[in-house]
Amino acid sequence: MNTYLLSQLPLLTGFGLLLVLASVWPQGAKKTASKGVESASQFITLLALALSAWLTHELLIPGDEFFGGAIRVTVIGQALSYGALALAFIATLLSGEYLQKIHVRSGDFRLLILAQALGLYHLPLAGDLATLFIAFELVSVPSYVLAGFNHRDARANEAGMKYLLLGAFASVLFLLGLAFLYGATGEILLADIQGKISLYLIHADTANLLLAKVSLGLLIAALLFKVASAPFHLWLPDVYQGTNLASLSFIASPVKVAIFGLIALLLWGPFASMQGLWKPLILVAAFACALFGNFQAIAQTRLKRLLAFSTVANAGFILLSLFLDSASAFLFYVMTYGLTSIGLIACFMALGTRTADLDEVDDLNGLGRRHPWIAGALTFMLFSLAGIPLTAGFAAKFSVASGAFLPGYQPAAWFLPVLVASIVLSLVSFFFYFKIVRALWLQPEPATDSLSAPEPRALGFNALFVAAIVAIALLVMGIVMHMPTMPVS
Amino acid sequence: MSVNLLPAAVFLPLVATVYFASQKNGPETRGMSLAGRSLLFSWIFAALATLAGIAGLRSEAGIAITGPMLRLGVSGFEVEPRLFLDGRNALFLILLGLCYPVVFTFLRDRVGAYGKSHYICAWALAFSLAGVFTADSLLLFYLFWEAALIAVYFWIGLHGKRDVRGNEVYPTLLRFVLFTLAGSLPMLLSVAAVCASNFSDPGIQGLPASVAQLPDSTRLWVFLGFFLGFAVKLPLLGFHGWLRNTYNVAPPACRALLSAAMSKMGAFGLLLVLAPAFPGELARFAPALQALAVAGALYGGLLMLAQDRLVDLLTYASLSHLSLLALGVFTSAYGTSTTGLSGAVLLVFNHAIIMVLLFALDARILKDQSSPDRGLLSGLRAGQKRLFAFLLLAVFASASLPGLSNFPGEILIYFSAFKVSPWLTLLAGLGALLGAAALVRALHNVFLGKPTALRAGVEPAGDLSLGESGLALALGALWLVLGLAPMLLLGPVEKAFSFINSMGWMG
Repeated sequence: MNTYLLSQLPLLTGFGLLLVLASVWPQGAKKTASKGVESASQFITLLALALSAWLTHELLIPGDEFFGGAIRVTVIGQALSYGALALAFIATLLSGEYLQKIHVRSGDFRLLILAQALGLYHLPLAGDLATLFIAFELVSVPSYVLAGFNHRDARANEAGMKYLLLGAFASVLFLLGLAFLYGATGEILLADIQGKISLYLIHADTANLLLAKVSLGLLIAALLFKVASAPFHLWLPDVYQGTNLASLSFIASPVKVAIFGLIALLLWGPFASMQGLWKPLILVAAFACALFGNFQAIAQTRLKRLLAFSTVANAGFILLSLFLDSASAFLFYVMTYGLTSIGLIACFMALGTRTADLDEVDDLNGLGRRHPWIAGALTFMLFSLAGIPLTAGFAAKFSVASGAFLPGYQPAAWFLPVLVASIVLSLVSFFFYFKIVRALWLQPEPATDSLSAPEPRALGFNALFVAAIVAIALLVMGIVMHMPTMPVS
Repeated sequence: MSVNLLPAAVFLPLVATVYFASQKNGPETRGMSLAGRSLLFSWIFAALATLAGIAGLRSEAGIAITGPMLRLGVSGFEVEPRLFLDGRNALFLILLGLCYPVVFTFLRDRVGAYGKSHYICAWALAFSLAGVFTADSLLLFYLFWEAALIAVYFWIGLHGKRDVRGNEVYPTLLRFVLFTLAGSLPMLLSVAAVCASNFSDPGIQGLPASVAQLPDSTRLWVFLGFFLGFAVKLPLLGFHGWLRNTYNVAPPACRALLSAAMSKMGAFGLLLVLAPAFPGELARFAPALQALAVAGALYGGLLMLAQDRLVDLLTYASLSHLSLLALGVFTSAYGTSTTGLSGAVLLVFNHAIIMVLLFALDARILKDQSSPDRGLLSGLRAGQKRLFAFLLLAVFASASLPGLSNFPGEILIYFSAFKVSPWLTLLAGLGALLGAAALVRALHNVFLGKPTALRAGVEPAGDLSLGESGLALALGALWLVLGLAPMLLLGPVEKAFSFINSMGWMG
């Protein structure tokens, strides 16, 4: 049996079952499904994601090719595919109670999730240009809908529209880049394209190289846009601010991981021999991330916007990890980044009130005393983002920093200065991470009059559970996790 | 001694931290109060740390305990979680142990105003500092280094108070944190560079050998990274922007430990990291570093003349002494003589056990634990005879009166500096002289003369109790013994340094 088809079968089956469920018991005027249907659809989604992630891990063997190379399994691609599906699983787990709280059509939400999961699965495994583009759109299009999913909220509409317009623009650039690449090489398989470009370089075929360079520029611009690397990051805070937390956990985590993976696969794959061209571009982007991500966050007082800018700051380190000889630092960093984002969102969900979400940092005032465990988990995740030892965030930053000093490693020009600048600029990030820590632990609870009790918090079981496992995972990854060296070539 | 007390001494504070975290806040109706329990822990800690430290001083090649080998995260190189104790760092552990009973005796929270978080932070700080002073692995060292910062962050953040100048707690605290991180993040890069080029964590003890193999240009950057971390923590002149306000807003117990114990993290770095591993760089920048240290000593002394509040005087006295300590390191690290280093180790120890009492007594004078202002108060001696006596003794000890314990360490540093240039000794000595004069004048103003009518809200606390007097007396006796018989400590310290010297790492 074709292991590729088998490993995505759960996703397709789940998608079909959800469709059947939606047509047999449509969500009527009430907008929310009955409890049984709701549980069934959540269960189907979780099972499909879990099974598919597990099968991806178990069945696929690096080196496998399917459908004449349209799907090509690599160690890195498989890890990314598996990782993105696992993150989608956690995000789905998280969304259950929250979707009920915000009264949206949860059945439709899960259909989008499974459609997107198919894209997440394919994106890192794509072996040719067509698969690449289809997977890219499968990931992107549901994201636009997810961003504006809570359509009664004006800000959600704004977020969805912004994301759609800018995302579509990025898709166009991406498609144009692929077209140029095809034009330059006349090949559709990524492996063949890589060979052709190397040949052009050897024979100094300037005409075709020019096309390849244009293609590289377009692709980098499109993908940096999608991962919101500075200086293409200005849309991110607005989209985060308007998006509901359940959708955000997908947009901020598995989607980002898959697209970072795509950047790595393109730069280490077809464009491996054009390092001289992409390295300076990526370095500029990484430096811009450290600069803008950290400094722009200072003025923010809203939690989601802070999360957005911290994402930008961390994106800089992920881009820097692309310069190392081993892919393990990159994989570790993106997974840590994905996990931390979901964990933070879980904490925000748990600490929101029963009717409203957290918005300002001040909404967290004094919650450390009343809910020490969840506040502790949130603090630990912030420490991880800041890169304090004993957390996965520290191990991730340390692996990027130490990778640059391994004997035999030849750093690209300006790589070390940018690395040093990124670490030193991360000092600024402490300013805003500690703003949240301060609100949790050092600020008094807002005064309430003596009659009314403090506002009860949502504290949903799923959110607490996810926050706990993410915090534990970050601790374990920070201390004992060991990943083998994975040469990028 | 057959039993290795090192792990017990290092992990007892962790046990105390967990213990206090598990306690409930609220009115204490039965049994021993939180303050009492913390004092009990502190005596056990003092005993364990002292015994472990003495064993470390006595042993020839140092003692160590090693945990299971770890492979760190993704980088994949090996980390051996190892604690060690030898003649160079044993005194750091002992001083930490001695500081805690002093702080919890004199600044005992009798009314239960603080609650458990006070003790959690205090003991987390003790654990972190014990870890910094004994960790061999660089990553473990860095972990404890940051943990100490977090403990102090919460301690000051939760229990600090706006100071008389109107500095709010949080901005001051943030400044302290950012200052410290501006030093420790470059240090992290240095740690990463050393670990990566070595394919494993060489540890504090293996650092000289592995740094020696780095190319010159890399070594320079690695040196600068470490130097920044230590310079901010000590602090050296120019890196001290956080110092005064942080001391002012910190709760008194935290302030005493900041000066007595936490500043020693920087001293530890100078003595055990920079001196053995970077003799070439220290030699290269020697004139600038020596000038910086002397300037710090002089600057501290001069500023003391202009201060009115006792706590500010003590803060700058601390700066001045720590600069002197740095002078000891910077004048001898690259030579073949270890005089300055040994002097610096002695000074570290004695500065701590004197400063902790000075800061504790300063907060003990007034009921609200604010520091007395020499322009506004006088004649306090009438009600605080014993307190005044011990404060005066501590001031003399801090001014390096011969016969008291600060003297041997300081004089060794002066010797070491004199060999480089008599001017260094002269200027540093001048700073110390100015500082001593300022302190004596302040005590004179506050305690002698006619008692003033007190302002509302300013109320002197009672005189020292019998127990407090006993502890102060014991400390005084210790200063006297160490002042008259400095070889008790100097012998093992010298031996440890010459042992390291004989390995060919220095000079």
